[in-house]
Parts: sequence; structure tokens; C-alpha cells
Amino acid sequence: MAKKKAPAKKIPVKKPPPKKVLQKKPPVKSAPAKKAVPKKVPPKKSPDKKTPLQKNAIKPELKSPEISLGKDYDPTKKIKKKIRPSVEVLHRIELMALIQNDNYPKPPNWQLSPKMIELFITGSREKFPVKKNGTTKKISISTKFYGDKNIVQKAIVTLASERALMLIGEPGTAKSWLSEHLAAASCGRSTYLIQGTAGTTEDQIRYSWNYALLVSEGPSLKSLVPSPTINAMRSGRILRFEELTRCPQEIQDSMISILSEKVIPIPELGSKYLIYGIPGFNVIATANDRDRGVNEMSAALKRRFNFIYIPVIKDKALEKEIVVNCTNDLLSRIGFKVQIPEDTLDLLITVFQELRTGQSTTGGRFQQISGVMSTSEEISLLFDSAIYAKFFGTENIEPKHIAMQVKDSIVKDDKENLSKLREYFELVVRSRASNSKTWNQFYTAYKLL
Amino acid sequence: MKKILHVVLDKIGLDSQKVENQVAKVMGEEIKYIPIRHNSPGSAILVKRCLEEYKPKLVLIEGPYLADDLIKYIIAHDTIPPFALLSVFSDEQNHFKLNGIISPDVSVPAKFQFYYPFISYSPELVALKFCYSKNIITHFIDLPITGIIPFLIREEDRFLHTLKQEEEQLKSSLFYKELSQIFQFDSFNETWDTLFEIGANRVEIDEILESYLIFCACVRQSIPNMASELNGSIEREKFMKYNIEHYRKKHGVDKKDVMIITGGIHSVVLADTVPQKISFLEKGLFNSLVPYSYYRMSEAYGYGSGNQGPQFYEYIWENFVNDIKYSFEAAALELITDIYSDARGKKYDISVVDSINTFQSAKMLAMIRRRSEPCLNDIVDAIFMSLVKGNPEIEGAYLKEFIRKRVVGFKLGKITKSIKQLPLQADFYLRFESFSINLKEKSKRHELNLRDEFDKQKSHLFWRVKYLDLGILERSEGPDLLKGVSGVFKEVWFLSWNPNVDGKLIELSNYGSTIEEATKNMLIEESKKNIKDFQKISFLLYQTLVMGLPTLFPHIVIVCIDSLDKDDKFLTLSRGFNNLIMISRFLHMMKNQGYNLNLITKLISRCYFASCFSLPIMANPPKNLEDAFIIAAKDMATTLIGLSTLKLNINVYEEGLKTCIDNSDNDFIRGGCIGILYLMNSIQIKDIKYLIREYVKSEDLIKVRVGEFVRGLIFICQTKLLYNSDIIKLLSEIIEDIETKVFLSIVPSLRKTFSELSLREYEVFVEKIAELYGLKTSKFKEITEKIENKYLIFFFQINEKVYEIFKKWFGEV
Repeated sequence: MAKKKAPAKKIPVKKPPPKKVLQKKPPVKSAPAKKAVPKKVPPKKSPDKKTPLQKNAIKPELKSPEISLGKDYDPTKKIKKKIRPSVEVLHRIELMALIQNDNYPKPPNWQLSPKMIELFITGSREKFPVKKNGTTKKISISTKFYGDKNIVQKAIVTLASERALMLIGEPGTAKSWLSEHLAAASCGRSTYLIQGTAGTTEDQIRYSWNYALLVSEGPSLKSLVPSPTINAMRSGRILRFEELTRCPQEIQDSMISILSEKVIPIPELGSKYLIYGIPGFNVIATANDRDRGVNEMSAALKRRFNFIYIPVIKDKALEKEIVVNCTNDLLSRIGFKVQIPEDTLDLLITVFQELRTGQSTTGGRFQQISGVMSTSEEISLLFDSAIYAKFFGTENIEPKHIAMQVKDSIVKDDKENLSKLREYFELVVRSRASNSKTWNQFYTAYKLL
Repeated sequence: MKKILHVVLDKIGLDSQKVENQVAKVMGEEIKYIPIRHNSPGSAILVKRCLEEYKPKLVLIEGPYLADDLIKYIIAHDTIPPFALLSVFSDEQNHFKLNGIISPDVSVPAKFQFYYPFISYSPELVALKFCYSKNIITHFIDLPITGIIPFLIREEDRFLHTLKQEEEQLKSSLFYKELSQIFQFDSFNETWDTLFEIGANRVEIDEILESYLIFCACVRQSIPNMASELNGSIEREKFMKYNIEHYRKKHGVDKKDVMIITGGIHSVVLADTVPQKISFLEKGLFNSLVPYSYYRMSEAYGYGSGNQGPQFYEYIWENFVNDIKYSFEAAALELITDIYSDARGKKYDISVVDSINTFQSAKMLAMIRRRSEPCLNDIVDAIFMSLVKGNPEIEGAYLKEFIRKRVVGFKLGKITKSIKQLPLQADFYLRFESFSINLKEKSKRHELNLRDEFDKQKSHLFWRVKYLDLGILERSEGPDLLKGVSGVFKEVWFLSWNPNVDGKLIELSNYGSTIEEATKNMLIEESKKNIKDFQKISFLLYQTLVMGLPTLFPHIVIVCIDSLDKDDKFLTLSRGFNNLIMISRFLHMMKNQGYNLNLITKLISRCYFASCFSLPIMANPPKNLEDAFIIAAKDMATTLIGLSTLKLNINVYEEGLKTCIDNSDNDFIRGGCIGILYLMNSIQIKDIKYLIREYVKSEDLIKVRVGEFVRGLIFICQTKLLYNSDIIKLLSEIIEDIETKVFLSIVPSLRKTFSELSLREYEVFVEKIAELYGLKTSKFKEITEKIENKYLIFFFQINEKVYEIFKKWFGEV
């Protein structure tokens, strides 16, 4: 493991004169600043009478840091709508219903039992009563993951075990989506998140320091900036590590002791200072199959994970269902309602399936696209087409909208894909254009681009 | 179970009260009806517990009536499961009117084989052994196969086990389908294990009996097309009920002392079934016991009545017997450690922590899937979760094999030596024993040195067994008449025993009581059947040599002479001629060994003349035989060119070819025959050029035939002609000179000609063309790389068309 650079403990004997900026800074307990909105003292809440079940349940986190810029920004104003609320906020009512109706045994510190987590993710036809503000209503549980239920079961079981969970598969197979929902359902918080990149450092995984405080006061708990890992460990929740294999191997390996010992030592605070994980803490990592070999995981780290492979969806009907539901969901978040005609949708799914395999449904072969042709790419393309249709069209997604997006979506940075796409249009789409109005519009629109 | 029943029955609209009443009636009967699933440890332990609890005096079991005399062998101490009760029937009198439909000819009797497999945890075997130890009377009561055959209307049922039919019925029911959907079971095995296997040793007898009966009653009521699906089952039930009454009266046993052990689907209706004696054929029906294997009993082999892991369920059964409360959990631990000890160090680094993690995961998976203990699905999933670090299809391939090996197992059964075996069966095993060969299902390599007497004898046995078509021997190396390989003294065989051997030996017993006798008689029968086909008869002669049957050799030579008189087809005669040449070489190699070489020499000479005289008859063969005829003529010519020891007058063959050319209206055949003459150096290249020019000079109708002539010519001597620049030049000149419409007419023939060339020949041809036009070979690459878009589209369309045609021919492409 790479040694962590310890901040200097000794403070210089001759202190430099404090800077003006620091002098201007009002002391913490000083009078309120000018024009500042008077602090509202929240009324003391009388402790609710809660059942033991409710006491144990971890409330879904509703707060998340909001950063905004601009002179009109007023921090006291509550932001009503977020572009992408977290899963625990978005599905708060469903989670509440499941918590209230959960009679199965739960692993320590989990808000739901494994069976109920499975229901939350795979959906249920059964309706659950939910009490809210003194009234009871029945709600059904929507399907969030449309794949093999065994994948979900295996993932949940792994989280309840000693090992961490690694979701692996082709890009766009809903690994992060599943990870987010698993975290939200099991511990009520999906936002303890580390995004793996080539620039991810060990500090981001373990802990870092507020250097101003560190310099002025020395190493202390106050100057320690906890990482999402420490937050998850302390609260017995799930840490999500996205794209783990994008990090260099030595950085990845800093997870080894966390996963096996479930502890982070902080030598700067003394040799005995350790942060322990409490029951419920675990890690969900994701990695792309295509990244393999770039930053291959060490055998030691692999051993600490159970790998669950998420395959690409090959069933056309299922793919269609996913694309429609997810796109509608995205559109509803921004308050849009756009018609997706069946034949246009069929065209989109056919194009993606054919380009993915390099073979037309009638058996003709052409060059296969090298880029990622995932379901999420399809959803994104359809979503963009919908927005275009909404603002510049008749609110109906037409083949021409698909054609406009398909080039940018598929070609990406590989110029060879352009000629491959051209070949596909000339060999496959053109022959269909003579027999189908939809395909004809698609071909014509592409040619005009 | 009752709760589940109501939920599911409501969904499919069936009357749950009716089911409950039906079950209550069966449970209330004085006679104890014990429902079972065949080859299930849960059912086996239920039967054992019922026998101990109810202490019956008469136990009647679903098994073929007339096989009672085999019970003493089934329970013999030296009969080791897995084994099968085999019922064989040969329809000599064509009672079922299936001779010629499922057999090759009306004269060949249709043959039926049914296997009733027994494993150590078969409920029937457990019952038989228990009854034997307590002196309880037992009988088989099911309809024999001759009573069932008329109802096996589906082709696929005819050679399969009756148990498969029962399982298929269960799986087709709406009840099962709805149940599996509601509870998200992936397979019938998972459903069954969850409902009835797990905890079978702990649940109260009455409770588990009721659950079994409810399940089977629901299934039976919801089978689509029930009347036709159960056709046959109903007759069997009537017959079983008849036997229940019959044996109860015969032994004077009270109803309360009678226990009936049958598949659950029958148990629910037997109480209400009207007894009826169903007639069946006894003559030609033979029952015996044969060894069986775990592999054959498993789904991996395609055995539908589905034991997904015979070895795994063996663990469960042992735990049941040893009174281990959580038998599945204990078996899971045993299976995981077994698999891991196999896989450790071979591709997988496995530690104790992995074993702990896997076991823990299997238990948790079971819990989330609503089971109290892990079943096989949970264990396999847990193993993959723990060990496979990537795509299971790729990175779990090895692991799958380790799992399969331990779950299915390789155990082979044995049958007591006291059982009356047919002489042919006994001889078969004796022969292999005499060579110290252990018959195992796993393929074993045997390398034989034909110069060594012991190995030669072994080779004879292998050839004989191969000829009897027992499906256990494959030869990969050695002298081969068909491939023209001689002068080799090494043979390599692969031997893998399979349980069908005994069935086949029973069938073959008509031919003789020893392997040698059966082989001889089959050879004689075959020689009579094929007297008009000299190729097949001459091959029999070869087989007498490799099978070491010198006494039969003169007899087959006489049959050959007879066949030469009766066969007038050039194709079979010329191929027979080649066979005879190979046989003579083989005899030389083996230094005659008691065979008369002179007989073969005379036979070759006789066959040569017969072939030459039959040649002109084939001058105008049917379209589908054109290629075969020309190849046969060429092969014979090649053989003649290579012959020096036999003094055959080669002119006779040349004359035959010339007559054929004169008589033929087929330009491909004419071209081919000219090519053969050129190969034999009877004509020169200038003669060929002359003939081609003659075609081109003629009127259009003849001119267009030059393409087929050239095709026949190049088909025969492509190598010799394509290296000749003169011929290439001539062809090029013709193509340039002739009119477009003539050119278009000969294009298909020319295209076919060149598409039949090998890659190297094609390259030589291209080089010659390039040379002729002063081009370099590299220029061709440049040309092919600059194909225009319209041609690309054209090729793509052809590709699609081909795909469409292939899909029509072969289904999925």
C-alpha cells in the first residue's frame, strides 16, 4: 500500500502575521453579520413515539449539498426540484411502504430485508398499504431493473455477506443503476459515492485534511475531511465505488484493508486512532468489461469481491420495454410528454441490434460498429430525439429525429464508424426504404444530413 | 401447501374444493396409496417412513408386470445401483403395424426398448429392499410395454422411458406453470426440491402425503388436452387397479395391510379407478437387468425425467438415512468441498475463505428464494458468485465442468452374476475380460500393434463388436479400405461403454450365442441382402479379414463371384474393384494368414473386365450421378496406372472409355472421359485442343456446349491442364472470340469449373492469366480493393438471398 503523506505536526515557532482576510473573518460566536437573515431557531420537536421497527429503520436521506453560482443565488431558498434526485428520495413512498410491511429478518442496520429489497428492485404486482400523514393508501412497487431476477438476488446476498459486490458487464447494462438502487434500498442512502477515474487519489478513498485548519490547529478530528468511505463505515451504510478499474492499480489496492479489516487507521491522530466500520457497511463497485487489461485488479482485491456479471439484453421485446419505460421516466422528470410511435421505436431497436451484431435481420452481413451500442445509449438517443421533437417538431418522435441523433451517438471518436454506418445505410436501410414508410423517412433524413 | 393451492387454483380458475375432496378420499382409504416421484430421495425416505409406520403385509409397486421374477436379482447383495430393468420387444408378427415404418423394411421387425432405471434412492428399490428384509410380499403391477406401445402415438415417445412421459405431463400442467411463475421457480426440479425434497425427513408423514397428493391432483386436473395426454396412463391405471384387487385376493390380505407405491399422478386416481384386465402380448417380450450409469440418468444426457444431479442426490439420500436433520445443507457443504478440492490449483485459487463464503451465500440465496435449505440451484449460483471474476460464460467454463463432474457423477452399476444372462451377453463380457479390459463409460484409448498376436486378436474383437454396432468403439487410426490407407501396422481405438449395450446384445441374440457366431451370421445375412451391389459385397470380404474370420472368407468370395454376375453398374463395380486391390495389398501386408491370395487375384481380374464392359452403359448417367460416375472412372484409371504386379490389359479400359465418349450425349461426361484418357497418356494435348476448336467452329447450338466439355475436362485433370499455358491461352482466345450470347451461355459452366478448384489451383490459374496479359499478380489485389459501391450492394443482396435459401433448407442459420 502506498504510504500516505502525513501533514506536518509541528507548528513553526515564529508564526507569520495573520493575513487580512483572516482578520476580517468574524469569529464563530460573534454577532450576526449585517443584512444576514436572522437565524430561525427550529422549534424543539417532541420525541415521536416510534415502534422498535421504525426506530431501527434508517430514514432515507433527503438532504444533499447544493451548489449554485450567480448573484441571484439565495441560500435560504429551498430548491424545490432537482434534476436528478437520489433514488431514496425519488422512491420514498415505495420504500416507506416496504419498510412498514416488512416482516422478514434483516441483516444488522439494514432498513429492509433482502426479500423486500428484491421486491423494490424487480417490482411487484402486489399492492402494499402505506401510512403517511395519518392516512393509508395502497401502492404497487414499480420495476426498476428489468433483467434476470437471479442477478438481483445474488447481489443482495453478497451485500449481506462478508464480501463486497462487484457489478461487471458491458457499458450501459445498468450496473450503476442497480448499484444505486441496491444502496438506497438496503441502507437508505445511495450518495456515499466515489467516482473512479485515472486521477482518483488515495485521499479521496480514505481521508484528507482541511489544510487551513491543519496548519492553524494541527491534526485533529476537526481538521480531518472524511471520505465517503469513512462516512459509510461510521454509519453502517453502503459505499458505492463507480468505475473502480479506471483507477490505477495501486489506488484500487487501498480498498484491500478497508474490505478485509473494515477499519481505517489515522496515524496522524495517534497510533491508536482507528475508524471502524459498523455492521451494515459494505461496498458496491462497478467496472466495465471493456476496461479489462487497462487497470487490471490485483488478485488480492478480486478475492475480496463477489463478481456479478450483468449481460447485454438480447431479447428485443424486453429491450423495447426498457427503452420506453426509462425514456418516459426521464421525460416525466422534466415534465415532458412526447409520443413514441411503435414503428419508430421498432426501427430504433432494430438499428441498434443490427449494428451491435453486424448482421441484418434478413441475414446480410456488414461491418460491426466498434463503439458501445448499449441499451442506455438507446435511451439517451431516444431522449434527445424526444427533446428535439418537443422543441422543434410536432411533439411526435419521427424517424428523422432518430436519424439526426444516430450519427453522433454511434460514431463518437472512431472515424471508421462513419464508413461502417454509411455501409449499413446503403446495404440495409436503403433496401428497406422502398417497402416501408418509416424506414424511407429514416433513410432520407440520414442522406440529407 | 393448502394456501399455495388456493392462490394458484384461483388464478387458473379451478375448483379447489374438488381437489381437497379428492385428496381427502385417497387419504381416507384403507389401502395406503403412497405417491412418489421416481428417483427422488425425498420420495424414497417417505416410502421408508411409511413402511415403518404402517407395517403392510403386501406392497405393490409401479413396475412392469411379468418382471416379478427379476425382483430377487434387484435386491441381490451384488447388484449395485445404478442399474435398469430393461424390457425389450421385437415385433416379429407385425402386431403393431409399425414394421417398415420405424424399422428399415417390413421384413425387419420393429424393436422397442424401455428402461426403468433404479438408483440407490429410487423409492421402488428402497421398498423392495425393505420388504425383502421383513418378508413382506411384493409385486410389480404396471402394464408391460406391449400393452403401452399402442398408446405411444408420438414418435419421440417410442424409444424413451415411460417416466419421461409422466414428467412431461406434470410440466405441461397449467397449475405447475402458474405456480412456478408466482414463486419464480426457474425449473421443475427447483419447484419440486423447494416443495417436497427439502425437509422430507422432518415433516410429518400425513402432512407430506397430503401435500404430494394435492400437488398431483392439481396438476392432473390442469393438464391441457387431458384426454389425449393421459391416453395410455388411464389404461395403465385400470390394469394396476386390476392387479391390486387380484394380488390382494390371491394373498388373502386385508385392505388395511396393502400399500401401493406409484407415481403421484396415478396415486390420486387409483382409489376411484375401475379395475380392468388389459390384454398385452407376451411372446417376444423379454425383461432383464442391465448396468446403468449416473450420466445416463442425468439431464446432461437428455433424460427428461430429470435427475439434475444423481451424485448430489446421493449425498442427500445418505444424509436422510443417517438422520441428519438439515440434509440439504449438509449435502451442500459436502458438494462445495468436493468441487473445490477438484478445482483447487487447476485454474482456480481457492482458499478456505472461499468455501465459507460459498456456503454462506448458498444458504442466504436459499433464504431469499423462500427455502429453508439450499438446493442445487443455490449452490451452483453461490459457487459462481464466489469464484468467477467476470463473464460466467467465458471465465466459468472450466468451473462448469468441475461442477458437472461432481453433481452428475460417473458411477456405474453392476448386476449380480447369479442373474440369467443370455449367452451372447455372457460371451461379450467374457471376451473383454479375457483381454483385461474394464468397460467404463469414460472413453479410453487403445493402441494396438498389429504385428503382435495378442493385439491382433484384440483388434479382431474390436472389429467384430464395431460391426455389431454396439456403439462403444471408434477407430481413429490404422489401415483403412475406404480411405485407401494400407501398409500401417498400428491401430488406435477409443472404447467407451454405454448402458444400451445389453439391450442391443439381447436383440442380437437371434444371430448367435457368441460374438463370433453373431458376427458371421450377420455377415452372411448382409451378403444375401446386398447381392446386387458388388461394392458392399467386396467390403464384406474386407471385413472378414479384419474381423479374423478365415473360415468365412471362401464363402464370401463365392458370394462376390455371384454378385459380379448380377451387378451391371459401373459405379459399384469400379468401387468394388478398388476395394479388391486394397484387400490384396492388405493380405500382402498380413502375409496371407491362412487366406488364399489367388482367389483375390482371380476375383480382381474378373471384376476388371466386368467394370470395363459396364462402362459404356453409364455413358449418359442421370444428372445427380454425373460427378460420381466421372470420379469412379478416374479412380479406376488411377488404380490401373499404379498397378504393376497384376497383369491387366489396360487397353480394354481405354476402349471402354472411348465407347463411352462415342455413346454419350453429355458433354461433361465426354470432357471427363477425354481427361481420363489424357491422364492415362492415351491422347496428347494437341488432341484436346483439336476437340475444343471443333466445338467452337460448329454451329451455335453445339458451340455453347463447349463450357460443359471444358468443365468435365478440368474436373478430371485440373492440375495437369492448368499448368499448361497452351490450354489457358486457348481458353482465353475462345472467350475473346465468341459472340456475347454464346459467352453468356457458357458462363455458368465455366464459373462452376473454376469455383471447384482448390485455392492453390485457383492461384496458379490466376497467375497464368496474369502472365498471359503481361500483368503482375499484385495488380489483382488492387483491383479487388477498389470495388464500387453498386457491386458491394449486389454482393450483399446475393448474401441475403443465400441466407434466405439456407434458412429454408436448414432452419436457423
